[in-house]
Amino acid sequence: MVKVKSQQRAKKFSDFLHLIEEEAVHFPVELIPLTEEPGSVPQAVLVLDSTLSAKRKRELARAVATDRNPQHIALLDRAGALTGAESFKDCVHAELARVKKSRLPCSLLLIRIDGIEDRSFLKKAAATLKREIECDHHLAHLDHATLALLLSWLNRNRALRQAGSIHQSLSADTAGRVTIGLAVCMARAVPSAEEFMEMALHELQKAEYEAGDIFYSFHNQDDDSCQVTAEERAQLFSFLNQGKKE
Amino acid sequence: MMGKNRKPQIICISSGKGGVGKTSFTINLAAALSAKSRKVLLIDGDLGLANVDVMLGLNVKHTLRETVEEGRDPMEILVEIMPGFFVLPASSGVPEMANLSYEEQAFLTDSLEHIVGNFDFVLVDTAAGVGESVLWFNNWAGKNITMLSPDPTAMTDAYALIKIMKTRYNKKDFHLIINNVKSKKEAREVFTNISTVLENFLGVKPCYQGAIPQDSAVAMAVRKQKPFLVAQPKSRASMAVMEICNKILS
Repeated sequence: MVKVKSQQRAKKFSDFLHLIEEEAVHFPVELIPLTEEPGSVPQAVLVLDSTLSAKRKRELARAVATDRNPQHIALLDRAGALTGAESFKDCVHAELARVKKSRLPCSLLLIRIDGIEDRSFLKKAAATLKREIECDHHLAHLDHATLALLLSWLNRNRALRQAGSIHQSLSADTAGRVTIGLAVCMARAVPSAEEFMEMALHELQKAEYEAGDIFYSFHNQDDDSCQVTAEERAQLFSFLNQGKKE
Repeated sequence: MMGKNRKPQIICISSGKGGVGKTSFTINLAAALSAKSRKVLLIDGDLGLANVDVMLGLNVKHTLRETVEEGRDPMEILVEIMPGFFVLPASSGVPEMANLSYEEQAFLTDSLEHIVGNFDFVLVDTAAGVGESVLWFNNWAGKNITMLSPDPTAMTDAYALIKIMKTRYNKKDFHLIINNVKSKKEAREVFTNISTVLENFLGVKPCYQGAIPQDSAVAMAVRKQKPFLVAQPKSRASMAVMEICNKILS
């Protein structure tokens, strides 16, 4: 994957883009110009191996699209390896906008690990988490002891399974306690980025101060309210029973 | 191939219970709409156990599986059944397709949205049940048709589907078709009953879209792998579908 940085004068870059488009036809590559808005002048171009699967191409394109904000790079944590708190909030904001548009859920995990103040352990924990997640998920270092993980597309059950797996992996790395607060955002009730992070933090605090390592909540807890009740059935079938009596 | 940028009416046909007659009805509705000079796309929304191709006697080379897995353009998959009537076939016996991840669902929606502008009507024949793909197609569609027959299981499952769509996705407009009825009177009674329950418990006022009578022409057409509207256009079932078609057009 090659990402060509934009020049200050768009015309020059577009000349260069034109040049590589001509050359690209001779190679098994796919060019994806990256623009700020549809129809605007490209600022960068993503060069993909055209033999990759469609799924992999989408993953890479999305990873680059979400990572191309220069502020993002400037807002890494002090260790320089993970997204920092400010940039992560932007990610949450963008993800919630996606949930509204696509009507598909996302989940936010806040993970607190005893001993993570040690820089080398932080790196180890980050490496463990990166193994657990897909490339279009966001991992961030919020404060000295808290990591945050934003999981795209995951509903309640899948997020809980993922949280369980992460807890197990991190617990194997440390003798300290690992606690997780999980918030799930469903499309029918999308909170603000601040509310969503607050929900996850609240669950994390419950996990820390109450017995249990993983706590979770949903913005609108009516998942099971769709079950057809006995009263509803009785009324549905009353018509049939009337027919029998007649 | 076709003029783009139409604003199609996307209609999702579901039932909850299987075997109620969704696929048969959807194929015939597509045939009826195309006979009225409308360009119609029928999407086989039963992604893992597709039947539309079987009911039309098609020998398909490509399916929506290739769109999801390889990124193939859905336009390359289209099969023209008759003038103005196109089918997007799906795969059969592929459990992975029946359980698409959210990302794959989103990708499929994007791919479909690129082509629907070529048509006046897009009909989605969903799988039975209330699985993710059924809910997602129902949410995507602008109009939701729920089919049921006058038996308690079909009524319960249709009610359950509507309840989910109302509760989770805040859908409010539902159109009911009662299939396999002995008479119009029976259809009206079934409709009145379920609409009373829907109104009492969910505050939903469904719209009566029509009824299809019991008709041996339906089973015969399925065996011939042809729409009954084509095999027996004067049959009672064909007349009923034309009536529903006219109602949709009006």
